[in-house]
Amino acid sequence: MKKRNSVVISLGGIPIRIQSSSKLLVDLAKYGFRGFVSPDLKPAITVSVMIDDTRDMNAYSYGKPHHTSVVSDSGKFFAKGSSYSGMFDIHSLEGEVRQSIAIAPLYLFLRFILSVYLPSQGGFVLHSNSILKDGKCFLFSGKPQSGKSTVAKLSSEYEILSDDFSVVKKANGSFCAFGSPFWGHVEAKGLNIRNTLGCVKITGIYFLSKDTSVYVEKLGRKESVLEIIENMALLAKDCKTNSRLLSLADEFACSVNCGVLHFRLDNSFWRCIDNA
Amino acid sequence: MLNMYVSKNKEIAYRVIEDEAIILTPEDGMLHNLNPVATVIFESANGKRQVKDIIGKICEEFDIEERVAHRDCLNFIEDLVHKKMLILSGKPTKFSK
Repeated sequence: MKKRNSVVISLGGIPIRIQSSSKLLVDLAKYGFRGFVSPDLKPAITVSVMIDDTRDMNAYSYGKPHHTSVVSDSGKFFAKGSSYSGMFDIHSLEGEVRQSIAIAPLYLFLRFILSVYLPSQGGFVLHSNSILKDGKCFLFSGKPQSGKSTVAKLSSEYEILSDDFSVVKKANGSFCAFGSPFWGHVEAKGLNIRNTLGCVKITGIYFLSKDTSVYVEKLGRKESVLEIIENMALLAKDCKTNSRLLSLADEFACSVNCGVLHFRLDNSFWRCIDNA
Repeated sequence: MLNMYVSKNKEIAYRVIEDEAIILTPEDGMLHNLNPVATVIFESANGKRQVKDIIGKICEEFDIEERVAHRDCLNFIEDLVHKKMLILSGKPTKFSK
């Protein structure tokens, strides 16, 4: 039997062991998740990676975003895309994925696991960046091309927890943003990235709307919940998980500032956020 | 149809916020937002009420002509049955949410 290579990382405060018979894959994971490696933590989730060389190397090959189809059956969640296929059992907290020796499919599978597991832990994964300004954390949310990476680039003097997907979870009674390895376009530019195991209390969430003028349009509770749900990374085909997501979205909307940020391509929007 | 019992599909997740239901349908992952009248109809579908009871409830709670309530309720219930959010049955059902 081949020796198991493994690494423990912590995502959203959840220790995850990644193990594989491929030392190269585990070395790639150690590099890809640098800043999140937590060898001293006892893993809550174990993910076994099996190498399948027939899979796409790159999750974003052919210039198209990866599409994942998800089904659930008695606590087992199955995900399938062009670059991987995997299963996560929410009861045993064990996952298995078949993929090529590449980091991108593993990112996608771990994001899928967090999307289905975090609701039971008071959290969720959101299409948003997370930016720290003067000790406050702000999320800017929207679908692809809405301007999340642009806003992150326009905020280069501040610390950035994530530019594409934020890991949000309740900690000490408040909703917090955790450091996230799920990056879009900013990291390659070497901006002010904060790959951290810690978390920061969220002050507000703003849904992005490109415009010629800059202002914040405040949202009511119901509109906020609708926007938050619309921007969640993945909705499971599972009533229990979706009920938790609705409840969390409502609680989140009631506990942070919510609005639509109309912005143009400069950093003047921060004045509106400061005054909101 | 008036004597049929109406219940919610137990597979859907929903939450009522500010008198309006937000519903997540699992098959298509769609988000639906009902207005206050539609929310009362949806919430009344507990498997123990017949369509005619729900129409009566709408007439009691809202300032609406019975003829209009009758027409709109039937159309709405049919639409939600088509979208697999509500289920019609000849007998009362145990499941209620």
